[in-house]
Amino acid sequence: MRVALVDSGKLEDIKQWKPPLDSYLSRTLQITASNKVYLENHGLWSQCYADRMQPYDRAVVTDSLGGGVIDLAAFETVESVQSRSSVAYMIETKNFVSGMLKAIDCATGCVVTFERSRARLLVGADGASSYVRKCAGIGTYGSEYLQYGLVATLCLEQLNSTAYQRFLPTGPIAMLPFPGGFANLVWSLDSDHTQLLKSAPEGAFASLVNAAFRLSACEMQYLYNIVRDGASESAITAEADWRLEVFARNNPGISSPKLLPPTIAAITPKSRTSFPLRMRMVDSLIANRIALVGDAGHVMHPLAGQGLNMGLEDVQCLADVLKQAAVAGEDIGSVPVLMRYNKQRYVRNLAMQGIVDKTWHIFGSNSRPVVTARSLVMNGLDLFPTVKRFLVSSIMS
Amino acid sequence: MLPCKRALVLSRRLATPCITPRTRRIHSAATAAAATTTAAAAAAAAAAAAAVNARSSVSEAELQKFVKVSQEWWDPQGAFKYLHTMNAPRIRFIRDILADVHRVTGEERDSTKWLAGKSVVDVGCGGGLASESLARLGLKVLGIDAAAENISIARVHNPGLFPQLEYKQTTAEQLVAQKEGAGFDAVVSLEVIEHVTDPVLFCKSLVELAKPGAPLLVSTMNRTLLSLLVDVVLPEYVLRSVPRGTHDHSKFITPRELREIFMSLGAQHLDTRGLILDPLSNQCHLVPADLGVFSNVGIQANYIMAFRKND
Repeated sequence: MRVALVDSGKLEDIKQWKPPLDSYLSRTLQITASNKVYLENHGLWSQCYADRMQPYDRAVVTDSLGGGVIDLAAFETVESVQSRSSVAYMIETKNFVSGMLKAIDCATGCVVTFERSRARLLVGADGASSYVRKCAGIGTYGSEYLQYGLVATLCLEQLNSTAYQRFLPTGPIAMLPFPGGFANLVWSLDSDHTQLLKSAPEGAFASLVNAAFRLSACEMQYLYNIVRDGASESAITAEADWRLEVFARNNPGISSPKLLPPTIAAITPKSRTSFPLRMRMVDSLIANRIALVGDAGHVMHPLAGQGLNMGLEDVQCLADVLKQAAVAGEDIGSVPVLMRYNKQRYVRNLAMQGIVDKTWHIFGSNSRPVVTARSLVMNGLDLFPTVKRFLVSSIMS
Repeated sequence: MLPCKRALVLSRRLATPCITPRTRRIHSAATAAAATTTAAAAAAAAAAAAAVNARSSVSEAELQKFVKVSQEWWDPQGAFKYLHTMNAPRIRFIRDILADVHRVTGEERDSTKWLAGKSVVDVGCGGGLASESLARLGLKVLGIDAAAENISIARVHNPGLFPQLEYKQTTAEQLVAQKEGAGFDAVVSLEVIEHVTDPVLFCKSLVELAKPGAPLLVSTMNRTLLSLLVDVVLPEYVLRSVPRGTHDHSKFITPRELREIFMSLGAQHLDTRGLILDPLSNQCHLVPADLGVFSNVGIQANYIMAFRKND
């Protein structure tokens, strides 16, 4: 089988990517344990810079309105004790992509080309606004969250290997660990708040992130207001730090089981950037001679970090289907063959998108019954190790 | 044959009027499968008949059945839908038999290197469904059919596999007489033998086309109550997805008869598998002849048999 890779980007540049020594890029990916094993088995994982990825085995999810807490730790699962693996791995997008491109160089029978070519199967892996999907006439539906993902690289006061996520009324905020006391921030906000926080002074931004993980919704609202009024960096920092001090005094025990992330000292200069968040479902993952994988076939909110992982599962499934078809001498681009891929992946992708979308809606609600119910469920789940074990193993795979 | 005829009349009287469009859709898969297999066989038979003026196993009447539906060969939802479904498991089986005969084991089995250049003749190739798949594996395939319509459709549907794939309007008997194509590394004839006038003569030609030691693969339908139901009554009379009269149940050959024919012609039996079609998921499963203590349950309807020409 001959494979040609076509991309509009300058692949050679990405392949030669030299990582910055003093920081991490703010666009990152989360890879689950099972996908990491798949990449490892195919010699792809070893091509990435190993010192720039961070495994994490614990995730703490909290809810700012109802006070619900779930502490998910991988050591509670049987599988992780046996295989000593982690829940997931954090890796910079560029590190991942350049590793994949280097691995393609090592593989035989694969060509990187920009020339006109004809093929029996076109795999559309061209992202959320897929051109392949458009040309194939595959319809999409879904909703705009009217939110943006604000990302930044954080410098912490101590080393950390736990992921923290807090649901705020304005959207979820997550801190994902990187080696050497760095962390990646993913903060979902509406466009007003995104603009506000992107333009806030860098020194004040660190205090605001600390505040977002600790303070109540109305205190955050007050802080946003003074930022909006154009307060100086020192004024915002002083206001936030004073409130954080009061919070620490009033909650002396809360940091002992490490339910709070480490304090952020600073953010990496100019690392803040944002992108719109959407949910897009496709009518089908296939058309005659066309298969969609990854974001071309499903766009979702990054709150669970599952977008790429679903894409990798698409790829595994498609590769398996094509191999079976090739062994039986079938036409790999024909609808009956591709139908097997669609059958296995379409419903699973839809279910995952649905779960993530419902989670977003449930935690985006301010209604008192919903807030009470979600906190009861979260705290209830936290009491049952078996349920948590199930949750963690489903995250891992 | 008496019970069969009675069943047919019965089914015509009882089953036909109460079919709703919905049930028709659901069941049409089964019928269609049966229909396609019949059509393919008929085509092969027709091809055979037309070719030889002297002794031939081709039946002119059978041939005409396939000429009528020849345009639908490559429509995956058309009359040959179930032939498409059955194709992949059959090719996988043929590949496995070839690997066994050539003693290819381990990871090499999944590669195509060992298959490259080996010659196969597909007798009664129809629209070329199986021929194309075999050529895609790297084999050098000659597809022959007595019907010119089938051959021209197979040629037009060219997936760029030439020169690995060649079609010819001829019959097995003619090919043997011409001597040019003799000595194939494998001989394949799928859903054809139930349409020929003289199965023994037909099988004799197949054996003569094979090199000594080469495998022969023949798929057809058993002559049982089940095959009458799923290969004749359902597709032709209930779902009507296959033209009536495509299959003649009395011409079906049992695995035992087929085995005896080939053994008497100097070939040894290698393996027999049943092909069970699931019309709902449109998937076809290759099953062993015996399922546990129930012998021959797997081969009550469609089956495929592998032989090896003696050295």
